Amino acid sequence: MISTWVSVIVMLVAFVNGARNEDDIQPCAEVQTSSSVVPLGSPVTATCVIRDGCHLVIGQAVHIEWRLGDRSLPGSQVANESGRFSEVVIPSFNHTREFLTCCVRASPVQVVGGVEIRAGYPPEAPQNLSCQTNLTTPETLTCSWDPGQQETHLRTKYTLHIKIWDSNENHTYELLPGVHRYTIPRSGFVLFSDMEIYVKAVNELGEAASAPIVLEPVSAAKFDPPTIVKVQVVPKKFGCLKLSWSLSQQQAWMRDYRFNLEVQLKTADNSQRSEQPILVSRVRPTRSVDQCRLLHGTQYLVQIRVRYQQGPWSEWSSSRAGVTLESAPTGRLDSWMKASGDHMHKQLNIHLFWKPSKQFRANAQNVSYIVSVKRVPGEKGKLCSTKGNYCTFKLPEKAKKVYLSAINAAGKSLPTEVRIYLPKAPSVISDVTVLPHDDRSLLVQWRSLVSSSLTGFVVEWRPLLETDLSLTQFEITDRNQTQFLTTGSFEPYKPYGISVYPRFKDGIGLPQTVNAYSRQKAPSMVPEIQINKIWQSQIELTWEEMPLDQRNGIIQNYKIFYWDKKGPIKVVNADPEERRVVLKDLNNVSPYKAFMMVSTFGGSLNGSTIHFEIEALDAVAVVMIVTLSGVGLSFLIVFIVLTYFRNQQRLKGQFWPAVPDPANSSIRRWTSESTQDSHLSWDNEEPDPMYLSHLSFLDLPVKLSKEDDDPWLSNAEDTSDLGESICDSPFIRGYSGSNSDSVPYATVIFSGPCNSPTPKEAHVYLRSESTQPLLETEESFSPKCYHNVASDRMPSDQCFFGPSHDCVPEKGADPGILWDDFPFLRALALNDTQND
Amino acid sequence: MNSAIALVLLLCFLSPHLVLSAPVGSLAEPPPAFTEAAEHAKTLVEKILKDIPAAHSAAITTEGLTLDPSAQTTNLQMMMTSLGIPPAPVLKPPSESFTLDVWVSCMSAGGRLYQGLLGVLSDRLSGLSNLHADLRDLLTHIAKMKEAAQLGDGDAADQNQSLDLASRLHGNYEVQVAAHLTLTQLRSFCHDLMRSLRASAAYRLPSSTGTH
Repeated sequence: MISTWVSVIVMLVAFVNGARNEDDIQPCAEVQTSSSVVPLGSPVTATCVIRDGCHLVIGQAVHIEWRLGDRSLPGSQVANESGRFSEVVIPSFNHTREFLTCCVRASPVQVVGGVEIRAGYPPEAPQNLSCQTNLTTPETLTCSWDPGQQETHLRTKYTLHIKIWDSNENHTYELLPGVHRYTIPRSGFVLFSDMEIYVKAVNELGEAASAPIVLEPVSAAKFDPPTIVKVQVVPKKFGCLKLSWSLSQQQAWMRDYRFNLEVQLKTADNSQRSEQPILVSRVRPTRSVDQCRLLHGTQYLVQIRVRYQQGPWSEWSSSRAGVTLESAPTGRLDSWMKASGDHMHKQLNIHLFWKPSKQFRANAQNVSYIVSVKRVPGEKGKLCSTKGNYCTFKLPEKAKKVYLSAINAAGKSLPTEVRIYLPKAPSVISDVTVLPHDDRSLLVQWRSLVSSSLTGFVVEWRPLLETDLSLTQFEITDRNQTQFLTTGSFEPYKPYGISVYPRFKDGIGLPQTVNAYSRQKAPSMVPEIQINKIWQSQIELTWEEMPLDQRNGIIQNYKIFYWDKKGPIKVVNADPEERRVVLKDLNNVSPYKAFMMVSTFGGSLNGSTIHFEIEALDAVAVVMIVTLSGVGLSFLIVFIVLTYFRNQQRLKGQFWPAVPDPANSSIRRWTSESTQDSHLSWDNEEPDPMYLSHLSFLDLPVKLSKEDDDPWLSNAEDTSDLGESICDSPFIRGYSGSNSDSVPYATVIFSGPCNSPTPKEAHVYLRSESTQPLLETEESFSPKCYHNVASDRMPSDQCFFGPSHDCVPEKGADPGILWDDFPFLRALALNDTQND
Repeated sequence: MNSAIALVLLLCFLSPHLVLSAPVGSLAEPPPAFTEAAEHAKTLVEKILKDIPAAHSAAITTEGLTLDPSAQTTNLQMMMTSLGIPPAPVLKPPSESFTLDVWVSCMSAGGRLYQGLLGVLSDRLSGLSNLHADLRDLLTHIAKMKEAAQLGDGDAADQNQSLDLASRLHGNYEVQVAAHLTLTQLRSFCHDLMRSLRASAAYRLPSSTGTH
């Protein structure tokens, strides 16, 4: 931009100066340089001569200044005759393009002349010149080259020079700037003549030419992909294929020339491929090419490519298949046998797997296998015949080995002997681990105990989602090996069962089996959560086992995320094996939400969210409570009943003490020590005097100090026949009790029955009240002994004891008669009367 | 037509009859350069034969002008005469009667004839430049054959040939017919060339010819 302005200024100055001197069109000053184009960084010398006629300098001293762009340069003014000459030396010109101006110091400074200086580098010789002929219409020869690394900063022209030797023709092609390739039309080259080609680069600082190349254009042609016409067997030559090929239709006119050919052979099943293409030199398309040392009876896919002399290779042709001659199978088969079955009947089920060993050659496309108990396979003794890689059969009795042979249309292989081993119990393998090695292989590692009879291991793997046994693969390893890299087509995200069996001298041990994935990802589904049980603050969630094909990896864990409206999200981990989890400490205020996340080592997947609510008292709880209460009550009742029955006699004695039967009693029998011991309780529980007024003690073995003066006691000694019996007698004629209708009773409870001669327990003093006559409702407890009292008519007032049905009170009967029947009771009544 | 070309072509026609009584000398293997040049020439002739249909379909758009002789219904003999297109030179395999010198000269004369015709037509039609270049290559290799076999410059008189075809191409139809006739005759000439070049592989040079 600056340089543009400077040039404009220079032009204006020149115009102004010229305009002022219309008669004299000479510029005011003349600026000259050693060179207007210089190598970058080289010194530049310039001179400025002010003309005498320049009006700026007429009659005044001249001071000349130099400027490079907008920067002043120190110049050396040389005094010559006119004194108007200046020279400047730029020691190193570092601009690619700049204006150098000569100025006269006036007011203002006047530019009187200028010159443009450009700098750069001479061109480098073009490198890597190469040409390639195109033989498809339009036919051309394209040459390209590298211009060199260094930027010249100057306009550099390239020209392509061609000399056809045979015709002494010369062509020169001028190229567009910046383009470093050129396509020569067909008229510019001869197909079968040598041509000398070079590129010349020219700029203002010099020129350089590339190293010339000499080529015959047809030798620099990239031919179209050839065509394989036919691939056929060579009669009576095993392992050979004959290739007939041709150039493309457009280039068939070259068919009489010899080409270099490369042949790529690979078996159709991709199992074998020639690593390097086979080079066949100098062959004509009209002649076929034999390729030998191939596998017998094998289908090959063949591709070829061509080049003429040292030209570029064509692209590969399309594939063509050919099959070599068949011969009988050779080599050994590796086998793996698993026996199972009924030992009792001595007939074993045998699963026999096999695979070709490295030396095995099927030598045919169609090969089948025969398992036989006889070494020479035949219909007799044949156990199975299959085209697969396994066979299941029942082993004939007494057979210890079978023979496995491969057979094709050309013959049979030598049989491979397979010994039948019974499964052995010992397992010496532990810690089987499987690591994904890459997408196509798994690394199986294991540990084994040292065993002298151990001969090696068998690693077996199979896809778990497939039931086809032919997909089972195996590898036999030696005893020192503790890892194996399984290779094959392991599909990602699919489970594989990998078993490691120990091999012993006399059998196969039990395997260790693990599941493995070559690559894992998040599961495809999440099992549906089922709410199983809800307790007061707990809930049990369960779910079904995930289908194997949905897992996509080894389930690491199940996580339940749950939350309510208020609380934070809580997480519970579940055992992958258990598939159940109990959420605890739930509150019943707000509903809960929950979802499950299933994780494998390859990712996680969240399930749908479920809602649940903890009820304050749910039906189950009510049922539980009612049930428990009922059960508890039942237990209580049963306990009471049992207790009752156990203590029936005791209770009976306590509630209905045995009233001594005077007819069957004696004073001696009623005097007991136990009765004497009972006075302490009496001390503690003094009866209410109001009720005790109906109780009469006829005789007490222990004298109460407070009652020493009681005439009852003194009189009681006189009636010692009554002994210590305590007889409640509310039913005194004329007694109406208290103000209420109830009848108060006082009862002394003995620890033993009434008739017990020596009661040991302390007596208990009880008070009771009843609106019913006591003995009327407790008939069953009436002593039977009273029945023997003959009485035709019992007055109701006296019918105390006995359940006699005859005991119907008769009103108006004379009670006196009854009292006569019970003399002792009458005595008590008398005492009572006296006390009153 | 140039009188020199006419002379050579006339020689090509007459030579089989004129040289019937040529003496049979000792035979020698042709030099490798000759064989190689002949091989290249044969390849180029094959290429020309391959290119002619494409060039014909690219250059000639007039209906009825086809390379298929059975489909050719128009008689263009008068047009050929009026346009001054000479008939294709007759080529025979080199033999004792049809000497190598004459044979090569005939090939060269025919090649130059069609190169000249195509050169004129290329200015008026597109799609003929490849054939033109192929013929140039062919002539180069015929020249190499001459050089290798040290044959005399029998067709030196052909230098500076100038066909007056250009002056007779008044309209587009003439151009189309001229191109069609040229390509048809070129194909015929190339077939002859192929036959004679194949036969030349078995030809042995007379020792007298090969040594001087």
